[in-house]
Amino acid sequence: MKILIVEDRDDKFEDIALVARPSCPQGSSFHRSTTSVSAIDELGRCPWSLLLLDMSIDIRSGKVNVARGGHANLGGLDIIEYLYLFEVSLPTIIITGFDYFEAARSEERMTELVGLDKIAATAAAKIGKNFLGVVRYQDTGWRDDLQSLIMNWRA
Amino acid sequence: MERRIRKSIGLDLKNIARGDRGYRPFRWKISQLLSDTSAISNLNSFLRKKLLFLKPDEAFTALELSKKDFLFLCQLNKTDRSAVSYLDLLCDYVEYNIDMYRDIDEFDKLLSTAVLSGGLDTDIASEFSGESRGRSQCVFVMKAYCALFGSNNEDISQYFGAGMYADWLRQRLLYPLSYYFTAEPDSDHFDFFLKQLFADTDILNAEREVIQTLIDDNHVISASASHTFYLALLVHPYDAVILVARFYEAVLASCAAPSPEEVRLLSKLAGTTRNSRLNAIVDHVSGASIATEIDGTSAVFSTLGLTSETAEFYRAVFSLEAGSGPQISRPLLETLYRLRFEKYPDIADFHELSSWTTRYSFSTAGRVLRVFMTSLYMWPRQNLVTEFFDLFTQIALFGALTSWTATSPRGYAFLRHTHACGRLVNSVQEIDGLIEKQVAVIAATGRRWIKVFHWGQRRNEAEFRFNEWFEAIRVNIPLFGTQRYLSGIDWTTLDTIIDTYRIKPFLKNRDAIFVLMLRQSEERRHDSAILRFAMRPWAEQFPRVDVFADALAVEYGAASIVFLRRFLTADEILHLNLENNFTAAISERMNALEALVKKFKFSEDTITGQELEKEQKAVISVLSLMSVNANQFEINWDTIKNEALSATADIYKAYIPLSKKYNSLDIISQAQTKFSHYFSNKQSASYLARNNETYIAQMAFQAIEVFFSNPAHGIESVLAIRIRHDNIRREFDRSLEAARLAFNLRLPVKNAMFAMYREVVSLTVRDWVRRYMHTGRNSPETALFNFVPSQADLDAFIKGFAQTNSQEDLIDAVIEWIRSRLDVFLGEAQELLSGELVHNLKSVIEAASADARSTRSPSDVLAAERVALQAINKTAVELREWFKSPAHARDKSISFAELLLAVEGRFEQEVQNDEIAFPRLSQQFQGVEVLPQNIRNLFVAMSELTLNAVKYGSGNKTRLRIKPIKSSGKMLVLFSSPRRGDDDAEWTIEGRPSGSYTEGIFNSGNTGLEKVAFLAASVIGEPSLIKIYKRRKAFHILLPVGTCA
Repeated sequence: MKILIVEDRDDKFEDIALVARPSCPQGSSFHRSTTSVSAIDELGRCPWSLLLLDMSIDIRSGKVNVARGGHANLGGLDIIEYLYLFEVSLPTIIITGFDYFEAARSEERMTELVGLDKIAATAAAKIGKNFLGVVRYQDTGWRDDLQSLIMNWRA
Repeated sequence: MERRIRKSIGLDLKNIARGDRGYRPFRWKISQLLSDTSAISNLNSFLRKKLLFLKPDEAFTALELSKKDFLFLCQLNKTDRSAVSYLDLLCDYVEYNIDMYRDIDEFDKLLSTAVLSGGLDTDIASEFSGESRGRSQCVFVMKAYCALFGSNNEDISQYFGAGMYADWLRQRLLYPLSYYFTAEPDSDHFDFFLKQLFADTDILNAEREVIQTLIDDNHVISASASHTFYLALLVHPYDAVILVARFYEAVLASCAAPSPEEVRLLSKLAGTTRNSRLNAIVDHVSGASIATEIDGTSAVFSTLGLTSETAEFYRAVFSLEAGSGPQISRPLLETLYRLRFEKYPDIADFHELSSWTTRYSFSTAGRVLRVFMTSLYMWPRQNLVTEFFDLFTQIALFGALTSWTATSPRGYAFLRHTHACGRLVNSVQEIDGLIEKQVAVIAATGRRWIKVFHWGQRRNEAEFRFNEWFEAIRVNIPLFGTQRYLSGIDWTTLDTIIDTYRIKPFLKNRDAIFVLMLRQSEERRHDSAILRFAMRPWAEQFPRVDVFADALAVEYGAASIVFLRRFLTADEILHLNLENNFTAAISERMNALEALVKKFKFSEDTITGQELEKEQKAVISVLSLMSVNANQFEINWDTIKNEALSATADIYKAYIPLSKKYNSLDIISQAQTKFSHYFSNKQSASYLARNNETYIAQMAFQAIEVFFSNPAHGIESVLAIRIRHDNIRREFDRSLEAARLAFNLRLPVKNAMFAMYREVVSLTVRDWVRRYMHTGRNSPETALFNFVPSQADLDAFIKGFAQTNSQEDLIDAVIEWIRSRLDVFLGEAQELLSGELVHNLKSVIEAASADARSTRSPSDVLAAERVALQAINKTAVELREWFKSPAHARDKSISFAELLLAVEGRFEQEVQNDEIAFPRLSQQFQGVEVLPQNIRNLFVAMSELTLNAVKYGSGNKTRLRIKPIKSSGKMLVLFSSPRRGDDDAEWTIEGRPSGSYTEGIFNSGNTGLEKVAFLAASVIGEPSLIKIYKRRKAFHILLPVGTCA
């Protein structure tokens, strides 16, 4: 089983891999993409069994600065959109450290805050049953949540 | 038993009717009695009249609504019980008060004639002087007054101050009414506005629905029949008829049908009133055949008092065949003429007519203007029900199904629907053929071209021939930078194609990409994922954005500029692999855009000089922030203030006329009211204020909303992007990594210890950020940045506003309050950073060290711990600078060192690949400032020189040298780089400054050094020379960068 983890933070990636590993079959391999661009490349390169997806990610690797361009607050949803548009059937779990995100509103120069419920609804509308759920990466509970989502999916 | 109960109900109703107080005081009791359908039929006509007649000598007050009414309305919306009984009562209500109905019907004709004649004669104003009590209670009349005199605060104050209105009307309806005629919003915008005023509870939803229905005639009624009729019995008989008409028009538009009993009552009401809308409804439900005519007819115009010339004008306007019409020199008619007979609408004309349409939407004239706008595809496409609603309006107005109607939005579907309803004598094919023949000979002149185009696409759309559809759109619909007119495309067709075929139809299809771009531009969409994915295989053939821009220019001509402006943002350039870092993306995008403008010239269709200048300023602004790491809370308060003023302008304008007193009485009631506000960050709070002060509160809340949601300077943006997204943790991580590298200890021990420290530090920092760095949406108890005002804060805003009634003073007060709170929060954040966070970090590092002592040498552990703690303390001190909000905005000058850092950022990839090394600047550069107007010039100049250095480099790592030289009052930079070759040479290139950057770029030469010469001249503001010295293995370029003391 090949599992792709899209995650820009080293510590979070390690946490996720550590927690997911016992729930996956022995010999499963974990791969990582740290940016939106590399994730899309990976998804186009070969088939995957499971996608563990961060929501707020850099578009490409590069320097962080105040202007903070080059970062996609809802980059995870772009990847979900890719799965939908290219008809890639890939079970996906969103794992995010935040429970709301800034998103551009349709009017110019304004933003709105999008909560996890809306993100989950959008993801489910796009990829249907392949969307397994959202895990809120926080102090407690997230490990159980992630493991149970993976176990339920495998069952 | 049942018969006894029914008899008792009948008796109750009769007793109510026998009394002298009429329907209104007993409406709740009657509502319950109406559950028995025979209750009404048992009333004889004498009692019915007694119940429903409005005696001329008695005061009639409309809309005496209370909380209990809204409870009833909630129930009626859910159960829709007794609808037929209510309609029965309504028929009688209108019949017994038919004079009141006819009075306003005549008024509508007078007003509509005046509007459609293109001017408002003074005799309309006299309609309001000495008007009867009954007339003043009519919502139509109130709206007419607002439409005519809404721009004059004194008139509005006087009119509504003098009228004897119900409390509810004064307290709840007047302000939204004033807002509607001030802001002239579309239905969606008005709905959004009302939702802000009426928080989300069942009763308030019912109240909101009532207000929207009463004020916005374009709102397609979706409430139940009994809900609508209950309300209709509480308004003026004319308003009641219009409500019934609107309700059944919405029913027919949703392809539903009234029951036979409803049809019988509607026929009765239509017979009583001779209302053309009701007649059209009855004709439709009874399947009366409808004339189909090639040319426009003008049923409505013959009922108005238009001159024959004006009637002829409208006949031409609504005729598909007419290529021109009579020109009448009255402002509105001139605007209508241009919009109809010129190919592309002028934006000012569009706004003017939209304004007229919204303002008079309650009248026949407003309906004519609305039909004009929708049938010419001037407004965004709507759902089927709304568009069918407009098509029914056309039939009611024109009295026939014309080729104009059939070529309107969803006209073909409506044609088939009308045929299915049995109303057409001819078959759809026959009518289709007739229109086709008519369309075939029409020249594509005037705005009718868009009707012809969409008629031509009906089969492509119905049969899903999307390649032909894409191609036809690209050939016929131009892509403009500022989408000055709407394409009239129903974008749900595109959604259906995407949902069915996903990305396939769009890959390698330049027409399809064009259509996606058109939508993006037209809808100002931000979610461009499908356009990006469709374009990606194409873009990947090109190494850089400038080369891809050239390919776009070959494919789409001048419209390629629109692709650059509206789609290829710096982020999209990164997504498409066209540049490898953000600085490169933002600067190269600008260069590519300038190159396209140079090729295609400025144009209103693609980009104007002013728009390009705006884009250039945005680049400078980003470049000047590139290297700044301190002052993360540096906020441009002028921007916040201007946006807050703009966001509250309409609320203020609507409030002012109602804030006055008339005959010592307040127009809006001053009763205390409790209300809640839901902020966009999902926090909410309840407040108490006088009724008329709630609108001041709304202004204050709007100003706070701007501070929440501005994408660049809003607190949510600052916290989410600059603080919460891992940046603080990264700073500690970077500092620990730097400490590890610099620290002298055995590698395995050092690596293991610091990996452990980094992990515990990460967790601790994350917890701290999560706990405090919020505005309070999820964890209000620990959130530091709570900007929800307390009751006392709100009282202070209201009190301050009362002194001057000045919008600007209020906004200033709110911003001052925000700034003072922000200062407090930032101070607390600094304390928490230096105190709690450092303490916690120290604890976790010491705990980790204690664990490590069991397996490692205590002295090694102690040494590592000491270095780690030093790194943490140092970072914490540096990070305190992040939590500062400078009193004054920077003047946007940056130091030369910051500029060079931005240039280095542009070449980040090359630096990482060890292809280039930028120098550390000497002390001599300290204090060298780059003025705002020179930032981009110097950035581009330095980037060009760097590119030059790489191009002619020795093949190894290009090490740049930069040295300052002061000479004759000028500041120069000697830019040196290695090169291949041993020959010597020297030459100079002269540059001349230009009026603007763009002008200079367009006029400067094509080589990099010629461009640099122009840029240097622009920086020092006079003709200047750059000197190039080719020496053995090195280039030296002497570049003037400014003046010095």
